[in-house]
Amino acid sequence: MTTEAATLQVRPRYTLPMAFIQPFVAMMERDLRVLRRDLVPFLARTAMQPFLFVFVFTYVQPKIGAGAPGFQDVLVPGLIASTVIFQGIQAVAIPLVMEFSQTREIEDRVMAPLPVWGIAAQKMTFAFLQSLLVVLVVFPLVYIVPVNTPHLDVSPFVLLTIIPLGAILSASMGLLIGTAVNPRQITLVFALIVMPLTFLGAVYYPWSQLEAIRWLQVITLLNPLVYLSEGLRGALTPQFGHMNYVAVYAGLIVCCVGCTWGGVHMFAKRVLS
Amino acid sequence: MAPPQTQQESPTQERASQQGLTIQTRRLTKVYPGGTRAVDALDLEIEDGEFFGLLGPNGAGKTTTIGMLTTRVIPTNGEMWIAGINVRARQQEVKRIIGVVTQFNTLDRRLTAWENLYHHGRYFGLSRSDSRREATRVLELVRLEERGKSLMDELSGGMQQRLLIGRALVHRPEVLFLDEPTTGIDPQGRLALWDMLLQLHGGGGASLSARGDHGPRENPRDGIAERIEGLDRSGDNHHPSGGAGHALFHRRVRRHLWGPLGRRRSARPPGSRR
Repeated sequence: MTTEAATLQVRPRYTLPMAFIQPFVAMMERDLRVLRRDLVPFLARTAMQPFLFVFVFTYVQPKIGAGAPGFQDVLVPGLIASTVIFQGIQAVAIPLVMEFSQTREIEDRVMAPLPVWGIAAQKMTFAFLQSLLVVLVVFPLVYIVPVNTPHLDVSPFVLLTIIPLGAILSASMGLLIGTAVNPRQITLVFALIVMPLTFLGAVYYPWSQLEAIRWLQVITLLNPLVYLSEGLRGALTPQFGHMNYVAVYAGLIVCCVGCTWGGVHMFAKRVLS
Repeated sequence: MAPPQTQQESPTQERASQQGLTIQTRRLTKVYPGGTRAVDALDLEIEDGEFFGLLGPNGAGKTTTIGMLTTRVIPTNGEMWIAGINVRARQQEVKRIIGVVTQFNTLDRRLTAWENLYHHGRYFGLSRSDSRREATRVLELVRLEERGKSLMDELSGGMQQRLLIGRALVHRPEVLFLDEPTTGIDPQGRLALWDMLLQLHGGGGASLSARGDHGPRENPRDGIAERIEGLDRSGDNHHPSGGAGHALFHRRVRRHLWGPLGRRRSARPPGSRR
């Protein structure tokens, strides 16, 4: 026991840039291990909602002679966008609310030799990668399931810039909601955030066609999901018309910066007293 | 066994040992928003190799003091050093050389016992192979070698507490902070736990422990975790080793930490964290 205890004083040595990168990478490893273990529930959770949606509205309904023609085209960008955003809430915000309150697990991460903003950045980075994974899961679903294959007219540049922006938006919104909400309010997150966000997020209709309801078109500009849906609509199904790209990119960037700033700020506030 | 310790000792460690102080605070003060003065101008000097207990009822400022020393609570005023490193100025360096056993169970619920230790080692810069080895070593140290693959909800409260302490040891900290480490454990488990801590402590370094419970004296040896006379409301004043024991508090500490006890106790709802 004495030799055992005596070696307790050996101090691992590393230099400064590594001192930041190392714990960051280590936390990514931890998240990856958990994700790998929970891969099946993760996929089920991610795929179920969009799958049922396309199944009912673009498979069942056309087969029984109901539903709107061309709806499958509207749903492709919409469902990808809403699933990506929902992912951020599901995979970042809700666990974070728990870690802050019931389990206080977050303290374990906070004691690691990484600045508090570094921990927030790690959470966002992992959520970003998870969101990209979600796109890969959802896209085949919304393309394959419909009876009538969607007509896609892909703009690769727009697609490859909008998707990462959407993943950042998802991660930063997850961080912000996770740090701003307390566990008693968690059911309200679904009622007051997730529901209005998705139903009024230009997911099930193109935003440009809202001209008939002008006030709604203006109000929903406050919804970050609108910019993502419209960006993807431009990238995949431009035949329906879409929001001007300048507005799409500006909206996404503003939302990303705002949510990241707010999220990191709130995170530090919750962790340190 | 002769590990190459001398090569790995950093200048800060040498400086600290020259001073002979592992923990030092100067007029450390924390006033929470709302005006609660949790810690008031605390001067604390803990020497290398000391096992130092902070004792007092709920609300005395124990957790706040540990929180400040471990960078989680931002002090309103004052300075503090751990192993000669200024805690406020060089937080990440301090975090690297301390181990913290938090007041609440902060084990990673998504990981097994072994993985909790392994990933903790990785957070603190151990290589994969080192971390694997240390995780296995610590698992034995806290007598959980049979439960390495168990998830947290499969472990008893006492096992989780041992794991929590073990986790703080994986990266071989120079200073160990224990915030009420035996809360919620049955008396037998407490004795076993203190035995384990003492054994570990045999290896040197300093520990700072806070205990809010006033149950039977937990540790029969060396006056460690001694209660200060006068605050022992349980009436259990005998010292198992015979003598009066020695007070672990500096007089100064006692005054500052415990001074306005009554007021502080009433200022905070029972069971509140600080």
